[in-house]
Amino acid sequence: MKARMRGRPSLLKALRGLKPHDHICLIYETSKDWKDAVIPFLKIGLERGEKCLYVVDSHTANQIHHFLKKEGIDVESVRQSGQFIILHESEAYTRDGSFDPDRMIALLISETKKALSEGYPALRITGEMTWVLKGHPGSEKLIEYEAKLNSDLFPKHPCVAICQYDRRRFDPEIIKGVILTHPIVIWGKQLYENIYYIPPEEVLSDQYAERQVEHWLNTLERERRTRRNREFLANVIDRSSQPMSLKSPDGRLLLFNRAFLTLLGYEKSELAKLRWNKHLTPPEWLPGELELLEELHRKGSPIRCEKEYLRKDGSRVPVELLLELTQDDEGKPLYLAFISDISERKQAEEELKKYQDHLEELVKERTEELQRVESLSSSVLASLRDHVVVIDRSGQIIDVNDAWKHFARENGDPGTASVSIGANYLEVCRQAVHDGDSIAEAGLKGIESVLDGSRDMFSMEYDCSSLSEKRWFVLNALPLKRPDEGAVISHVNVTQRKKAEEDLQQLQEELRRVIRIATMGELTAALAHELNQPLTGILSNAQAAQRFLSSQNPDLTELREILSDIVEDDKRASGVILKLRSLFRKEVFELEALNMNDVISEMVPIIRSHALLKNIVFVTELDPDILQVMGDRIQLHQVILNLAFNGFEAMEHSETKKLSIRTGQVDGGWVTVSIEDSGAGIDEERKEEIFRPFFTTKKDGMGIGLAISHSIIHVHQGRIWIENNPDRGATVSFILPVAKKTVK
Amino acid sequence: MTEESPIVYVVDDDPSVRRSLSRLIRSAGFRVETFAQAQDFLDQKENLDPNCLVLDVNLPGLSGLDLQKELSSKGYVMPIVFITGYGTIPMTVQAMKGGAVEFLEKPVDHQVLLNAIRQAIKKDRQMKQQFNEINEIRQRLATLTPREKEVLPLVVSGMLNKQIAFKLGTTEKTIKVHRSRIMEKMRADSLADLVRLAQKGGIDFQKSQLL
Repeated sequence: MKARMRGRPSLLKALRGLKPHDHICLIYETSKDWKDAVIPFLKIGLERGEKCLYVVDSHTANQIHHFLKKEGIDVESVRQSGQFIILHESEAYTRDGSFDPDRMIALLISETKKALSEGYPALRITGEMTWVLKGHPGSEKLIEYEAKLNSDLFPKHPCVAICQYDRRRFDPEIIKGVILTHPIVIWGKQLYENIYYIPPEEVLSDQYAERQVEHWLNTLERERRTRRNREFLANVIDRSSQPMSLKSPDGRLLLFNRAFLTLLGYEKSELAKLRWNKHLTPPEWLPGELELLEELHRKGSPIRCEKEYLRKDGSRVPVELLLELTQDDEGKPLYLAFISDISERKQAEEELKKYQDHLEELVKERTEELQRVESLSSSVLASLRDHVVVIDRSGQIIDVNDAWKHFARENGDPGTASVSIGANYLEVCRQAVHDGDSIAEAGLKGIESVLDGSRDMFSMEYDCSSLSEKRWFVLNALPLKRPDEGAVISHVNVTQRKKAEEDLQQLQEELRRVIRIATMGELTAALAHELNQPLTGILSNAQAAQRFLSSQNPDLTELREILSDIVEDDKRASGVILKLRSLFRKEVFELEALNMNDVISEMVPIIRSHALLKNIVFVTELDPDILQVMGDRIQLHQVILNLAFNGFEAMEHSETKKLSIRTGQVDGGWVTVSIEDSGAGIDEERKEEIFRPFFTTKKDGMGIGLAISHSIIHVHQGRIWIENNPDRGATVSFILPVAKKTVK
Repeated sequence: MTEESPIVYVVDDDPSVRRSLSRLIRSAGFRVETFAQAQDFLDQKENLDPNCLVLDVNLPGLSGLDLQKELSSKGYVMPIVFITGYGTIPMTVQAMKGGAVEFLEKPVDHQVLLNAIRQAIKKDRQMKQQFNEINEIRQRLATLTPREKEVLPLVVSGMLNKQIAFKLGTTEKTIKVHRSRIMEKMRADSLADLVRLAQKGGIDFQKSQLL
């Protein structure tokens, strides 16, 4: 695994860009700057398999080893293999106690050749130049040496070198010369293409100063052009109709052009303060954009995407972005965005889509309409399950449907078999009337009345049972709306509906009986109490009378009172029994004008007895002004009892036990009865289902009391519902319509 | 009239039942007063001195059992005959535990009811007699001086005058005087009689004996 290299990312990148034949000077002022350039330079070389040579002077070999080791270089092995060599300057530059540029260059050339012969691709050298300060003979030829390297060594041999100059220690004149003689300069944190570099032949020529001036003047011109080009470019970017921006991951907008400002509706000064991730990207788009930027980092290649920008006025603009990854001087990532306003495109797309939809809709509609028109007349008739026959004014059959034909075939019935197209329907009916068919007679009259316009429609239900099965039909006759007139006659088989109705009726009867039996159990206790009261009166009165009679002077007035009390109590007892019998009798629905107050009062003794036994407070608040309703007294008794008992059950575990029955009048046309309890109340979502049969919250209830009440109220054209009370418990209310001709 | 006949109170919400029971009870020679609600009876109780209470269990509002509880919690002891139109075993148990004389089901036979009432009246008489006797003894005890009250428990615990004198730090002669004064005030014929009176009057002499 490649160890991560320390140092400055931008400089590292530049150092990696260095190649054989490059001649670089490092001008440094701190040991960090020195280290950040020199150590990576060596490391890159070693990693590339180049032979590396270090000429020390101010540092020791051990220091260099140490730094390289810290970078993860196996120094021992590269030294042993001869890939890395450290020489002291006295073994190189000043080998014989003096410095000779030509000798040194020759040495470097031979070292490079040697490296190549050893199989290395290139030679990498770096040297500490402080030896110059020691004043060895020949040291003054330093600049000459550096210049000659540019002509004799580097262009011709695969050698790359950094010459190290500690700016703090060298005379500025020397540094100046160094700058003039190195095509590449590393200074501080950056690597520069050196614009002050002067080719060796000029440095070495006689007119050195003249050449330098010439060079500077050229440089001035070159710089001017470069600047102009840059300005031009900046101008082009700024005036480009394509919005562009350069933004950093932390949200800053580093650069943007006018088109970008126009797109978003901001002034330049405003936008500089904003963050793209906070102010320009709508919150719901941000996660997507951050994901996209991550992808950009992974892939490295530009990414295209669509998103929305928030404008200054709060509106949104759809855009297409081309995102590119770039870096600042420090090598930190930046994003360059090329933006296209696609609102018009979006709108056009939308409109196009709308138009397409509209077109499709139109086509569909037209097609359907066409199909409808084409097939309507035939398919309607054909698809009807009713047996349909169309006749003209005279009764002649114009058309029949499949169901008619099928029915006629199946039955072989003279009433239908003879009635196919061309025959006269009315004649067939008349024949049947003649044969004594009373149903045909009624039907004939009805159809004729529709044909002559005296009726808008005619409908009749009739029994058409055969020997083997029960059948019910409905005959409908409707005028045929066309100039020639005529009629459409249909026979609808309603046997199933009829059967269902009968079944339902039977079921309801059955249910009512069951509920009566179920109620009986609950009633027993209440009735025992209610019967025992008059019985107690009778017995005690009778026995008291016996005792009075056996005394010497019986008080006759007292005895008379006793007998009248006994008669009253006896009537009371038989009243209870009568009521009991009527409750359990299976009787038919009998409507009469009733006052609901009376209906309730008749049930009060039973309810009160029950309440007594269960320790429940029972009150009635009956509005004396309510109007009469039409109803079946016994059934309404049953509703009152069911609802009251239901209320009692609901309060079984309540602390407060109170049941109220109220009557009242609403909207003139309705009488209302409410039964309020103080029980547990009902779940809001169960308010509907509570009236369904066999729904129960009681553990031993049958769940039909409320269902029966519901169906009874329904039959009375009333409505029943349940509501929770604000404090506790629930109220079941029902309304019944006031009788048409009502007497107070 | 030598003695007023006993009075029976009837509480029942049914007017016919009230009237008929009232007649029946009157026919046996008792006085009767009736109430329709338990609360009415409770409100009046200060002015009443029933010898027997005939009480319906199933009353609207305050039930018969509630009334029984209420009365006993306030210290009113009176014999109660319960009647009910629809009784359950738990109800009966509760009523009898609360000290009811009888628990009868409606309709109730006159013999059964009147027997129960007579039994209740008898019980009432016994209770009242006992109460009166204790009251009388307490009144006598109240006439004793503090010193005599000190001496009485020692006497009834069987101590000799000498022992009492030593214990109270006085002379035998003084104690002798106290003793005769106590016998006189308590109207006791003998020491055995005094012990019985002291016992009924609630004097604790067991403790003094141990000393």
